[in-house]
Amino acid sequence: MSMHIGRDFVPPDVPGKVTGEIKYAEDYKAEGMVFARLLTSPLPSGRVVNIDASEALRMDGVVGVFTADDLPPVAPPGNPALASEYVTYVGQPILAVAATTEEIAESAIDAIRIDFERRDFVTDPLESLTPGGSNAYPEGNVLVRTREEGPEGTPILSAEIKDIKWPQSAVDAMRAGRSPEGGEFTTNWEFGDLDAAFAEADEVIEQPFVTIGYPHHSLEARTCMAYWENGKCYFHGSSQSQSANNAGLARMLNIDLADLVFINEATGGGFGSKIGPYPFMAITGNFSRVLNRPVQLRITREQEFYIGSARSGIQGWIKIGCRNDGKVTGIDLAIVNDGGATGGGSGNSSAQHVTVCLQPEAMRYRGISVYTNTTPRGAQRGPGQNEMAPILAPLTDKLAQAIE
Amino acid sequence: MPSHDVMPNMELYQPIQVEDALEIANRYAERGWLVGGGQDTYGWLKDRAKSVDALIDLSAIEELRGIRETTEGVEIGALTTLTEIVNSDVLQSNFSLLTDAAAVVASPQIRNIGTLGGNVSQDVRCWYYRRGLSCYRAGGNLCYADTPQGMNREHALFEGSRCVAAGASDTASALVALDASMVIRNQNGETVVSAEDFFVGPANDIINTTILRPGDILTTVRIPNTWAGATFYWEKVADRNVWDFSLVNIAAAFKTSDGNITESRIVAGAVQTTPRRLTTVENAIQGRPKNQQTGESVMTLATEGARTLAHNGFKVPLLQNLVKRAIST
Amino acid sequence: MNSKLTRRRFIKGVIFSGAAATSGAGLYLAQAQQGAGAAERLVNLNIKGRTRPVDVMPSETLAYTLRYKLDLTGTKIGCNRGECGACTVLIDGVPNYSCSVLTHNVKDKAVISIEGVKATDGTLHAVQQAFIAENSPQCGFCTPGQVMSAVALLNDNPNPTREEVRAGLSGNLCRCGAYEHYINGVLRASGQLA
Ligand SMILES: Cc1cc2nc3c(=O)[nH]c(=O)nc-3n(C[C@H](O)[C@H](O)[C@H](O)COP(=O)(O)OP(=O)(O)OC[C@H]3O[C@@H](n4cnc5c(N)ncnc54)[C@H](O)[C@@H]3O)c2cc1C
Ligand code: SF4
Ligand code: FES
Ligand code: FES
Repeated sequence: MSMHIGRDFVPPDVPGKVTGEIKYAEDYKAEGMVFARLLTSPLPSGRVVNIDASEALRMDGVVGVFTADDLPPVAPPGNPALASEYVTYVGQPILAVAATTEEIAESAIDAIRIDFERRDFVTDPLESLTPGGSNAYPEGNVLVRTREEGPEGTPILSAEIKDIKWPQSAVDAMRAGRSPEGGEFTTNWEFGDLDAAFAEADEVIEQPFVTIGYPHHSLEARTCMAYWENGKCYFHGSSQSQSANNAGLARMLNIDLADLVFINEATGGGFGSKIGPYPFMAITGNFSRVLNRPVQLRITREQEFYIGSARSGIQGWIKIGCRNDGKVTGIDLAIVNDGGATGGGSGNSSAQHVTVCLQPEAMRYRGISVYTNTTPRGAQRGPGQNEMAPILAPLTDKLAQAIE
Repeated sequence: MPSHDVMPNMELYQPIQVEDALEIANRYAERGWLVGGGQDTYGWLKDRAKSVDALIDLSAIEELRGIRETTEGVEIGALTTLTEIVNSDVLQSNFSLLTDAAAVVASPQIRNIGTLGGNVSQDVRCWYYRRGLSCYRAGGNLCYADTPQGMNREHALFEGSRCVAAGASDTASALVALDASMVIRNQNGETVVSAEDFFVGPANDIINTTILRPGDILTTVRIPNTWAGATFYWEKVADRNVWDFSLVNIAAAFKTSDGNITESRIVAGAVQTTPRRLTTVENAIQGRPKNQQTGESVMTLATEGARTLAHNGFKVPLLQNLVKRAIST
Repeated sequence: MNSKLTRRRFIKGVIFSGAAATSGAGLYLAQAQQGAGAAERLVNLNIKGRTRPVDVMPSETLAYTLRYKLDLTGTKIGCNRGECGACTVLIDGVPNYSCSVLTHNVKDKAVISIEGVKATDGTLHAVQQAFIAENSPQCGFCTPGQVMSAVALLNDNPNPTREEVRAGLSGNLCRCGAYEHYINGVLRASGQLA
């Protein structure tokens, strides 16, 4: 079937990588290209009251300043490429400045004054679920996916931000390593008869667990370069795919898919963080359109940490029952994901990983992902599976020792 | 928080004579910045956490480079790179404590250009301060690290005084242990101070880590023959073997007679802003056999008076164990 | 009241033109150097054996000059602060982070970036050939830097042990984690791995 299977061959990208000739997004240039840099939020949570860019705009070499007002609007609860009014994490892009050199663009950033109004912030999902706890967004603290019946029975899938609080007893139980009874979850499923499964078990263990949310940090920070010709947008973006971006990116640019020419030879790592169109892409493409000249936007390593996304962290509780013959009878799993500024979590795939690995006869899963005023979260290499693997391994050891 | 990584435009001077460098440094005073290899400098300027009007690049001044043997010991020009130090035969054979310390600084590329003068004069690596926050050391009126929520795992155990930053230089501990002295020039002439007096802690000066003032250039580091060929012990503990700074390091020199310690220097790095000479340990092992039993019996003396912060408690047993190993090995 | 903010449109009315801007060497702040000892802005750079005059800002890094002024984009910027090695080049044969060296520091020196590693007839360097044979690169972003460190190492030490290779390449971070493949590549380039 393939000319490659069973044979030695050189993947076509490898020679260009060892000679440096292969091009990454930031290696493209175009006539008249200007350099953009981002101004990012110093606050974990606040409101942008006023932006004064007059001094920056007077600087020689500064070509323009680009804000959320220049972007096609994003329907809430979407994560806009530039904060429009509320900032919800440190490092959130607020505006971009373009200039003839990176040095001038950076100096212009320093010349821009922004007045903020501070808001309370929250970094721990359980704290946000506590009665009276702060919400990361003005509208609430939890992203809830909704499903409505549309015309001819087609489902309309959407999402909204809700304000969910738990009874103090549920928060206390979770913190103390017990089942958070009475706490509201947004994902709930169950199979088999759980009570019977635990009754049948010879050994039952209960364990709280915590995993951290670490960033992807690809070696290539997400750079993009874009220019427009004859109504088409030519886009060089650091991306894990040649095609997965295109529809979303065309929407962010408000153009037909046919008018987007996406060119990307090589990408300096993604690990899941560059799998689809990321909001930041909208800045380069739209900025280039309003300036009517090519724009390259390279971000700093620190900014890649802020906006390049991270695995969502978990606070969880699990109860596993097994028989003396080693068969897992029942599992009760509760997961609170730290969804950062984007709200999503990998809890459900964590739960699925548990079903695949331990194959219980009955299982209950309760999951909720809570917004916090921390960096956006996204899929990272085996989302869910990699979180659960180091948790399940010692627990299976414990059970094995108990039934021996 | 604005995030930068491109240096702003500024003047650049590349003098080839010390006299010219001194004149320019004097003229610009605190608005000028001396550059050896620039490996500490550029981070500050790229972050735009500090800014100056002029860079005074010393790297073209030939007389500030090189390693020379003298009748009293060895003189190392302040602009000598760490790689040159590591590869120096005379240093390797007589003062391997310094070459061992220099060999584990940062990464090969940084050692290839980073200088000894820059290494000992570098600023502390407290991330709050580096990020441009207005803490005590930056002229403000609070410390972000010494708080219950502060990230202070890397910070100091001793001699905190409003600021609890730990010193970053790996060669500093070795130079103090070797009784080195530092030759400083300015337009008024030359002064020589012991390495121990060269470094200053926050109780005496919360802004500077050394006694260098604008207009001063460190020209030479002198290592006397006092410890030539002595028994040395160097160990650096860091999160990664490359790039990371010491969590704790130990530099020790011993003279023995019939297996008994007749004289010693034991200096710990990264436990306070300056290298910390452990004189109580030195006194306690005087005349005793250099072995594990002695090491174990004195190790707790090393941390007497330590004040731990929320996250750096691990440095107490770490320092004790390094002291034990230094004496035992 | 969260009244809608006033429109914040800040695009300058006049779009200036000028070919100089393409190179990134366009407009500078009016801060010419004065006085004795000050560095001349026009410098002659010897890059991969060819000397050419380049207009260099005082605080410009070598990585910037290579990438934006000389269009030598094989040198990568991964961190721009000496913490990754993607920007490694050889200066007089010695590996350095070009993001952390001023271009003005290399005026009298020979710089070799990844573009200068292969022979003039296009034959790849032994390290490059071995990295292909070992399929060393993953995303490839760190690869130019790994090649430069490997070339320098083999120039100094044609028969390194595995440990020596590890040390020689230790200033080059690979976020993909392809370390073993690069180390195998260097051993292969030195003829120690068939
Ligand atoms: C990623 C990274 C990792 C590092 N890891 C380590 C580590 O593990 N251990 C360690 O010890 N260091 C480490 N460093 C710090 C430091 O950059 C190097 O140690 C290097 O030796 C500094 O020397 P330099 O000549 O490049 O310094 P420069 O940046 O040139 O100078 C540093 C300071 O000293 C002053 N100075 C320089 N020369 C003189 C002189 N002759 N007279 C007066 N003042 C002078 C400068 O004005 C400046 O304030 C690291 C740095 C980086 C970027
Ligand atoms: S430890 Fe020192 S440098 Fe760090 S925040 Fe406190 S005062 Fe500033
Ligand atoms: S880009 Fe220079 S070391 Fe990372
Ligand atoms: S191959 Fe991706 S960083 Fe090394």
